[in-house]
Amino acid sequence: MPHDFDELYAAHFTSVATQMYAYCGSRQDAQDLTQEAFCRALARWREISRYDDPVAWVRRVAWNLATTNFRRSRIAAAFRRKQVEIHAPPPSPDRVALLTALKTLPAQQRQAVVLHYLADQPLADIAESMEVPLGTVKSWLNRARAALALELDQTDTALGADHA
Amino acid sequence: MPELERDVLADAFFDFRIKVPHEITVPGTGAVKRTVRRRRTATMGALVAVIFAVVFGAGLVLEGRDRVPGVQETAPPALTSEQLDLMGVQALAKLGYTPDDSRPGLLFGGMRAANSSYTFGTADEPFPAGGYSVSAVCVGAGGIDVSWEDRGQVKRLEVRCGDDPKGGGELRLVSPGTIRVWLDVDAAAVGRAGAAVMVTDPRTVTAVNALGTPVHQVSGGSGSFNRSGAGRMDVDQSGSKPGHYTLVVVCAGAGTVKATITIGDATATNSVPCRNVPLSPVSITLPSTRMGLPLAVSLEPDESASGSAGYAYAVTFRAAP
Repeated sequence: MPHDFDELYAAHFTSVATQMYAYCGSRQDAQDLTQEAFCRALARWREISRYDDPVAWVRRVAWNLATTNFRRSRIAAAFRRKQVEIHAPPPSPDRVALLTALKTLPAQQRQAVVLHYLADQPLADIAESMEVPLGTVKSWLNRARAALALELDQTDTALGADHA
Repeated sequence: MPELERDVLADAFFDFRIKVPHEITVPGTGAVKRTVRRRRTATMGALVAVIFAVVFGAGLVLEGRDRVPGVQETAPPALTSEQLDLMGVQALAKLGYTPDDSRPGLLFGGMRAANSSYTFGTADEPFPAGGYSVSAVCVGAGGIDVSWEDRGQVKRLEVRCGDDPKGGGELRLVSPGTIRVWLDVDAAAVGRAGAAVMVTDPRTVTAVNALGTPVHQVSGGSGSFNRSGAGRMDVDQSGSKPGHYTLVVVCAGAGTVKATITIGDATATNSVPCRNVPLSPVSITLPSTRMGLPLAVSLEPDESASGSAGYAYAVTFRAAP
């Protein structure tokens, strides 16, 4: 049974954009990347609607866009021109700390962390979507956890010192 | 202390997971649809620009070689994602299709990875049993190797990018099922080429064989109707000549196709029954009295033919005495 595009978009845009935000550190870029991935999905919807998990395809395209020069492309610029400025509250210190810590990770480790902690994907699914062995994912996550814990701990210490 | 570290991260992401979704702006599916519609309209124009760029670029390389003999050739830079997508569309055009009239059995796109595979048909909608033909074309640099399994035996087509479409591949499904195709892309083509692969279903092969090659043929095409009910429309803007144009159509499978030929404001229509055997071509002749009129052919399947018929058509021309 082919999936319905409108339903899929309504159900998953926010979650994919949230994951992309954690990955690239910019909410605006995350929205643009996600919108572009859905545009590409709709252009091939006859084929993609038959996939078991079309969202996995959309997410993958968004990751690919995030690692290419899409954010500097004229398509991204066109998206930005059309956007209405949204006044959101400034990010909390905890979120800034998390995004800063995530940025210190190599791209693949960061992707694995986001898929695990935000997309709630089992390790086997992460391995399949990233086309690497399961052991590699486990290794990335272990290294990422250690590095992030250290980064967050240092940030907490620094914040504590600032507040003192 | 991996468990403790994991808890720290889970807590950090918990806040992110709860608050961020409320800050995300959702542009909506209306914006997606407008973007896709605008890109489809622009694609053909952009395609002409890409073809021009490729031809012009080749001229520059040759000129450079003449001026600096002995300079070692280096691989061209990888293309952007958008350029690769256009190369895929360009390859598809070489098989006679655009993304909008794509149909089951067609695969096209930019060559981004050294190895990939694609499965035609699904368990719910398998391809019909029978003999299939496989053809492929590549645009850009390098070459690709298309392979598939035919009753336990691996078969392949080697395609050099820039060559004419390569056909002649065959496979047979002994019962309805899926067809898996593998693409092995050489290093020169990864990131620098687009390709299209067509697996033609047995009904289309039957229709093509029944049509043959009519004498005085000026244009033609073949394919199958998908379940969406979409038909096929081809427009030749090169302009008619005074004489008689005849549209010959063969349809294999089930249902009926409404075939129409239009020259300027004049139109002629006939119904073409889709059968298994024997197949009989249906001809529609329309005179043209003026030069330079656009000529259009449309094939519209009824509900029974949608997803269940393959077709082949040809337009022939006889000049006015």
